[in-house]
Amino acid sequence: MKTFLALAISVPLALTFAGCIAAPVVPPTGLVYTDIQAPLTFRAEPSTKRGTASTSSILGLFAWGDGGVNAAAHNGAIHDVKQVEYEFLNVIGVYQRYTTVVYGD
Amino acid sequence: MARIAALALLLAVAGTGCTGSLWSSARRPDMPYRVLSKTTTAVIPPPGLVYQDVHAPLYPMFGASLPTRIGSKKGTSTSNLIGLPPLPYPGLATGLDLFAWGDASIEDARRNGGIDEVEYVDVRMQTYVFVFRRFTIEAYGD
Repeated sequence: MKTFLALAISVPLALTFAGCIAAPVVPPTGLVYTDIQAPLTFRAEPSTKRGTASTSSILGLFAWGDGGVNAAAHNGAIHDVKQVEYEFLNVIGVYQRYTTVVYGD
Repeated sequence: MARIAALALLLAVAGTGCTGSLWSSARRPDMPYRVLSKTTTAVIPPPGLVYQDVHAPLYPMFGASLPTRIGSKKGTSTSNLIGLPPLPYPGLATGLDLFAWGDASIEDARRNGGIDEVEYVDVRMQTYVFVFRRFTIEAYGD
């Protein structure tokens, strides 16, 4: 009974948030699997470095991580930010990952 | 019980999920999630209803000018929220928000960090055990 209740609560919750990402530009996402990239800014200038920073989510219940521009720039040793994009990964709503990608010098 | 669970599952899949068919005609595919998240920022990462501590870009906004350099100072400002735990049904999945307070303005963050010129802004979203949420503006500059 407890297992059934846990499934009755967690499965709808996970499916409710499956494939969920809010951003200025969101390409079509899949309920079962999503792995997309999209822009956060208009401009795209030539750059030599790339830095990333991620947040992760399990079942829509637990989420952690620093996905800010500052963390991405630090991870890529970037001082001059020229372009910002993001990546989104969703696996059946069980595991989701958002990544900020910063390009610059 | 099984019927209730099945109904909740059906509604979750069909109605409220970001890929749900009931929302497929929406102009913004991320709008249901924006509504459920009860947060308005450019980027809202995947959620954690029980525990969440994530950072995301607030700035640059799409179409706005880019930050051109990384500032050396950081200032923060915070708003808080206390509410009731969520129910496992679509629409109430994020709980009932009751009390919210705090100054989460960029100006307050700028003053708190002793920053003269703000270059860009991140946001930090925290959730603890369903009922307490904190929204923090993180301003960077010199």
